[in-house]
Parts: sequence; structure tokens; C-alpha cells
Amino acid sequence: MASAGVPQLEYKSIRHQFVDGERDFVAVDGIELTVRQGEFLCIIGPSGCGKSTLLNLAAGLIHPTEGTVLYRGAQVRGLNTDVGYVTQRDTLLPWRTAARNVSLPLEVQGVPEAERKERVERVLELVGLHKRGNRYPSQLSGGMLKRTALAQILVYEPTTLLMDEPFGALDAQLRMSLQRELLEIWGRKSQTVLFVTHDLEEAILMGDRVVVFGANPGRIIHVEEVALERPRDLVALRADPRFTSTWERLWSLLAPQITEKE
Amino acid sequence: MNTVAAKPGAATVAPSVSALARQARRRRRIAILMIQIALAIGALVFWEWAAGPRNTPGILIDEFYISRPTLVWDALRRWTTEGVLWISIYYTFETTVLGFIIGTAMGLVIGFILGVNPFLASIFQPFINALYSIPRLALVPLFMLWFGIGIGSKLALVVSVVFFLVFFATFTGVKDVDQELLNKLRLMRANWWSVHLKVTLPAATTFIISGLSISLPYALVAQVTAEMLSSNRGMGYLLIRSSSQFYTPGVFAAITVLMVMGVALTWSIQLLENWLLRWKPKAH
Repeated sequence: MASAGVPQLEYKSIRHQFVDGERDFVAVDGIELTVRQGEFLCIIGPSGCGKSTLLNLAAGLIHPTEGTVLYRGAQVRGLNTDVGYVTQRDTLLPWRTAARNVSLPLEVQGVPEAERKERVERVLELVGLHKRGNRYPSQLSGGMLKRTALAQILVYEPTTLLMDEPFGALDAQLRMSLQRELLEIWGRKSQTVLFVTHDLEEAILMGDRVVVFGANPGRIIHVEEVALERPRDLVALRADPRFTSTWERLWSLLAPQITEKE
Repeated sequence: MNTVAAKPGAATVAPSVSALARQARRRRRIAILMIQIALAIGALVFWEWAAGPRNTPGILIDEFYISRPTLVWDALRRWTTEGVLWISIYYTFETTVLGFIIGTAMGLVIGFILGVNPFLASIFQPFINALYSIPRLALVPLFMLWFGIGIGSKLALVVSVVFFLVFFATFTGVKDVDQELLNKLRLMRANWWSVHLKVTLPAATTFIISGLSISLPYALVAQVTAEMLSSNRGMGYLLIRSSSQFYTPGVFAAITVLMVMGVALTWSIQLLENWLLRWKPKAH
């Protein structure tokens, strides 16, 4: 395919505003961003700066007030069903067990039962949940819920993954093991990932590029190429001078944005 | 007492905390059940003892007004040998359940359609509210005119009671569904039908079930009322016939049977609820 040259996703002079009560509220403004195919792109910024808006635009859940969003060269008009979206909130179906939640996208896409079962099992194993498949969400811990949500998206292999602070509410240890798993899975498939986080460390360790967002209105203030080679050792890299210098530089950009808000 | 613990090696085996808690809960349940049985028996014995024929010494209340458990039992036996009891129970039960099913089906379908379609809902809401506020018994003369004094008018009354309750429950449940869940399914390329089948309906189940468990006892009330107003069959008929003959034991017998039927219906809907909502965490 000649598609190698076509960017996966392009935001072209995007401005998006919501009606917030009486007033219009500008969520993002002047967004110019091209996401390469197969890239792991991290988006970081203070909360409420419109990072999630970027994902919603890519999924076609909302459409920009001004500008265009292109997915593989074509304008996103309706829903973009090429993406798998892991939202910030838990949106598992509470009446389905973990395994049946994971099999949901395959069911609605008409995958035959035998294949469904096999793929669900494989993905559950991948995220380390194969022994918990028959539990209901109410019987799972926070970390297991996140894994299930991740497995539910991975199982149908969408070409682009949108992830909105997927590991936000987890403790440090669990977080690291999920980060490692995600990178491993991403390394094997050649999916494009848009990964929103508020954790600078996470953004640098995971991403090929880090997009730094500013607030009021949400806008891109910097795009950083992360030159760390892959596969990455998430523990060792934390002490790597290249990591620390990048962290310090990005933090100096980010910190004023956060204090500005509070 | 501590012979087990004295044995070497066996001392480590102690009942777990959860096992102890389970045992305590079990004891408590048994105690409650015992007290309940004792209370029921006590009440029956007191009733039997206090009531009797008029002007008998030592009698507190004339049995003409409140009958007596043994007389009620006799009435039930009499109806059984006459062959009227089971037929009446069956008739009342069948019509109640049939009306309940029809009313539920209509309430589900229309509640769902209006629930997923806010535009239609805004059009029809005032009409449905207006119809709902009609006292349903006022419709009985019309139902008799339209459907005759047989099973038709009874069914119509039961349906008119059940429909609205199930409709409002379904409508609220469907409207209440998390939009994020629906979008998520749509992003997974689910079509309209599977979005609602996999998400909307199961999500609304909690509401629907409560609508069902509220409306089922009302279905029985409507059925018995219809039988009392015009019928020659069913428990409502047995009740009204006994009363017009001043046969108090018959009245009490009919009420007792209706009570048991009501309990059985409630119990069956409870079983359905437990099964449908088995994914819910158990509240202690």
C-alpha cells in the first residue's frame, strides 16, 4: 500500500467551543497536529485543557466548530469506527462478566462464537486476567477493571487506539506493569496510539512524541520528539540523563500552565 | 471441651472469621423464623379462642363478624369437595397472569419506543399522563360494554393497570441509559439494534423489574375487583357470593386464598428479579 505516506490523523486549524450554561466556552483553539501511522503519541497538560476533546474529535463523537479532522486523508464526518476508545471513566457493562465484556465488540461485529472465545481468552491472558474472566465488574479491583477495559478494546484490533488517562487512578506499581504491557502489545501490532495523561513521566516514557497542552483555551504549546530507543526499560530509563533532562525541560513548560489554572 | 486443640498438630485448625459470621447469621435467621411461626400460631389460637357463637359464655367476639380458623378451614374443605375452589383459583390466576403479560408486553414496547425517541416522547407524554390519571375502575362499565362480562373485560382492566406502571418504569429506565455506553457500542460498529439489545434493555432492567414487582399485586387487585363487580367465576366471585349469603367463613376463606396467591405471585417475581439482576453486588 502507498498509505505509508498518509498520516493516520490530522488536525487542521481546529477550534472547538461548547455552550457552557449561558456562555460559550472555547475548549481548544488553533490546533495543528499530524499523527503519524504507527506512532505512540502522548498528550499532556493541566486538567480541563481540552485533551479529551482531541480524542473525541478523532472518534467523531464531536465535530469541530472550525477546522477539519482528517483520518487517513478523509474528513471525519460521522463516527470514526476505526478507532478503539478507552475512556477515562469505567464503561464496562456491569451485567456482563469480564470475559463477556471483552467479547462484546466481537459479538456486535458478528464474529463466530468459536473464534470469539479463542480471541477473548488470548487477550485476557495478555492482560493477565485469564483467571478472572467469569467475574462481574463489581467483583473486580480498580486495576482489573482497567485491564478489562483495555482488553475489550484490544480484542477487536482497531487500527487506532485512543486512550484517555487509562491508568490515572491506579497505584504506582500497577500502573507500571500496565504501562509495560501496553508498550509490549503496541510493539507487536502496529497500531497508532493517542495517549492522554496528566503524568509527565508516563508521557515521556511511553511516547514517541509528547504534545504539551496549555490551558485557557486548550492549545498546543510544544511538541517534543522523544529520542529514547525501543524497546524501553521503564525502570532504568527513569535514571537516564536523557529522560531527566527532557523531563526538566518539559516540566518548565508545563508548570506555569498548571499554576495559572489554580 | 478443648480435646481437639490439645491434640498436637490440630491446634492450628480454627474456624475462619467468615465461617463464624456465617454461622451467626444462620442462627439469627432461624431464630427470626421461629418467632414468626410462633406469632402466627399464637394469633390463630387467640382468634379461635376469642370468637364463638353469639351469647356463649367466655366468648369475646361474635363469630358472625370474624368467623374462626376452624370454620374457615371447613369452608375451604367444602369448596374443595364441591369442586369449586381449584377452578376459581385457576380462573383468577390465569386471567391475572395473562393480563399481566399483555400489559407488560405493551408497556415494554411503548416505553422502549418513547424512551429512545425523545421527539415522540414529548408528543405523547401529556396524553399518556392524562390517561394514567383516569381511575381505572371508572373504565369498567366501558370494558363490559366493549368486551362483554366474560374474561375480556377482566383482562382489559388488568392490562390497563399493568400497562402504565410497566410503561413508566421502562420509559424512565431507557431514558436513563448512559450515553457514553451507547457511543462506545457505536464506535465498536454495533448497529442500532444491537446497541439497544446489548446496552439499553439490560441497563433498563433494574427499572423494569421494579415496575413489574409493583404492578403484579395490582394486577391481582384489578382482577379480583372485576370479578366482584360482574362475574360468576373466580375468587372474587366466591368472595362476593359468600358475603351476600352472610357466610363469613367463606369470606375469610376467599381472602386467605387471595393472600396466598398474592404472596406466591410476589415471590415468583422476586425469583425472576434475583436471576435477572444476579450481577448486582449483594447488599448486606
